Amino acid sequence: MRSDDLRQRFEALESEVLPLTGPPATEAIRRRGRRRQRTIRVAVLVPVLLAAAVIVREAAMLEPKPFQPKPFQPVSPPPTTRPAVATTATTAPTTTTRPAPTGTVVLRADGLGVAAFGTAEQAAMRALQGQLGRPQERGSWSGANPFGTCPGPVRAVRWGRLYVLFTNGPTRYGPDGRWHLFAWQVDQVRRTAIDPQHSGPTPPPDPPPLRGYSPRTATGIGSGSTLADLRTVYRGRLQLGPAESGPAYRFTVRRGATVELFGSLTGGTPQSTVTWLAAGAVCGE
Amino acid sequence: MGDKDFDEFYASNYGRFVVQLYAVTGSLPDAEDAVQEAFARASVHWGRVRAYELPEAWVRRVALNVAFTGLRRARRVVEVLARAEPPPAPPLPGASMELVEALGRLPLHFRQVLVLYYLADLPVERVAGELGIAVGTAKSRLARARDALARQLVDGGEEVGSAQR
Repeated sequence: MRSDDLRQRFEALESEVLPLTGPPATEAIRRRGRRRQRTIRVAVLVPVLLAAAVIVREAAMLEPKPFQPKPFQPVSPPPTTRPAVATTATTAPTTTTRPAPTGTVVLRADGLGVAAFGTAEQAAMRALQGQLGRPQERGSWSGANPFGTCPGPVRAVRWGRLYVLFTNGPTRYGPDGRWHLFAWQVDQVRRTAIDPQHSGPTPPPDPPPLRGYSPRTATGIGSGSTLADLRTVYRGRLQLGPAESGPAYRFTVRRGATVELFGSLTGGTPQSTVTWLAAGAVCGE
Repeated sequence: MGDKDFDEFYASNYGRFVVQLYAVTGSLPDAEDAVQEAFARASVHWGRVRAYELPEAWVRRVALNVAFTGLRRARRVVEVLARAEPPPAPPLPGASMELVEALGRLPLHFRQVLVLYYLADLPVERVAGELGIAVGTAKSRLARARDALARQLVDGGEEVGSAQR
């Protein structure tokens, strides 16, 4: 069959099909186009809006929130014959069941009860948020930070007066390169408001005080405890000395050569009170 | 101005595109739907499409994509509902029906090259351009497609290659 014959057959086809099909009104075609455009916009916008909502929600979690103090609930001592502060475990709790939220954590020499020093950051945060809810503040520093000279980059998370510190630097609880829980501090000042880069001719302004949630050890020691309380609980393991400047006193609680707890007091009298308390591979150690 | 351009472009090309798509798909409703969809998309982007050197090539390309995307989806359904009634064929004289059926037995790339050359009346160079192939390839493909179609029309021979409908 020659090409011309084929062309004739195609032309015949065209002339026969053309009368069978008529164009819909142009406006109908335009409407169809607009409808499709709207569908595409919705298909694009919905995931974008959902993603934005997730981002906003995540960002909201990172912003400081007005503190809603949870009532301090007395915590039964852990099921051990040893005092809570006497342990120096360096591994995460082996239990796989999630404890019921109590609204608090117990300050321990080996961590915070639900998360021992050395626990990976994400696992520790899950456990802590299970007990305490969302943190009020987060901060991260790669160099100078308000907590002193730390073993590497530091992330701090705050619930009330409790700071929980993570690092990916090497500590006795975790290797270099792995973010892990390495310390906690209970403090009366908002350290995240201190500018670690301050180098002006005048001293930096006093940081604002912290109020609200303030956990304690299983034996009841925490911010506001007196020197008399410390002596009652720790007896001969408590060592006391004046701070480098001012009327404050430093204290440490040791087990053998190991420092389990340390902190500051307003002075050296029995009525002097604890202003900060810390444990772990604390910065400046 | 732009609206008027589009109206003219639509009115003068709609029927021809439907015929071309019908020859490729073998289904007049599918061809009409694909062409309408292509023009609907062109109406939204008309400012851009009209600036192209060959707006009709853009619309035809979109219509083919729509037709075969739709056909691929529909084919899976049809395979499941194998006994579904085929859409009624348009009332065409025997010779034209025979041509459409013969085309339907050819591979898609043969159908495309034949339709662009004989129905869209494009020179081989533009056929090559629309298909994104070299001119020499278009020429040889056209020759083979023509032979295959001729065989189909003469003796309703065996299917050529793997026809994609």
